[in-house]
Amino acid sequence: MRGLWPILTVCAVGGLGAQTDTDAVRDSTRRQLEALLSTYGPAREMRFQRSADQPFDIVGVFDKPMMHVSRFEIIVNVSRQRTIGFRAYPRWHGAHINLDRVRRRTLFMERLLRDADQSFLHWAIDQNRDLFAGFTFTLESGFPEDAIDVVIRSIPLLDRPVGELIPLIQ
Amino acid sequence: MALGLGTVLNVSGFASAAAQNNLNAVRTRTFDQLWAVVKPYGSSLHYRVYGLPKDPFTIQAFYDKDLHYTPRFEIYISITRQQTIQFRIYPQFFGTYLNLDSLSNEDSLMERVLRFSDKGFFFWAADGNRDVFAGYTFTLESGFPEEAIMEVLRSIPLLDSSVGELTAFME
Repeated sequence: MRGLWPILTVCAVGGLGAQTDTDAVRDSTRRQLEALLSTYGPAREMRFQRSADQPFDIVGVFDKPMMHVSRFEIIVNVSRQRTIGFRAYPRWHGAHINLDRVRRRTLFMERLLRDADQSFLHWAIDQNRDLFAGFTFTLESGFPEDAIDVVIRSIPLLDRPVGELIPLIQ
Repeated sequence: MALGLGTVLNVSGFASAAAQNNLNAVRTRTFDQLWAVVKPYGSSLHYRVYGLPKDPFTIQAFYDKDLHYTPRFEIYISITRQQTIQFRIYPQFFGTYLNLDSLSNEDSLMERVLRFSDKGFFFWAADGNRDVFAGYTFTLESGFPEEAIMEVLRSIPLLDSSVGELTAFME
């Protein structure tokens, strides 16, 4: 029994060390991301800022005039698993597009899955059943600055596919 | 006038053909890099990896080691014209895919996979035949992502537990 304590203590120190390493890597990635979002022109139009609630989330809004969507709310998350996840929530008629408000739900979901086959960004439904478009980067090959630029430029282009979904919502 | 137009068309034709050749050369180079990672590394993880004779820009692979719910995954890895690397992973049940037409509760399955796309590393989609697959896309503007491709290959077997949740919707 006495012998177990040193092992547990060493494990706890090891665990704490690993946690600190993970946080340091996340922090470094977040800094790179914030630097990119504050200097890259199309990202500056989205007015990104660090989330008050979630320290590893960066939130932004794209609200330039579009045909269908009133604005996109964007969340960029740096995860513990060394990924960067982009989520773009379209707002339509003052609210997120929620699955409970969709009239032709079967066709709507099938369209989302078919679009995900053809498109650069994919569609998903969150725990509140709100629709968002997403893209996930895994960081094993380094910080993908140029690829992140492509995702940022692609977000306003989601207006057209959202427009095609609207007849299934109303 | 006709002579001038013909010249312009010819020049355009040459320019377009040259651009096409250039694009194919880039795709071929990227495919070679992809093959050099997927063939040896995939094989070390017990994937069976093949080229597709009909499509020089796509790799086909199969994985069936220690899976509990799906007998095997059939995987297509393609270099697209848009310079992306696209993974498509089809859970395969004794020769058939998970097809939206063959489900007892299509709505529930579609909602479940759209929720998987929220929580997981892979997204889920349905192809032109209404077959359901998990996917991952790399865009190549930041270079060839060798380590990240290895990570995707390591992650594919983990999709088995998600497939386990979907089997409840199969007839």
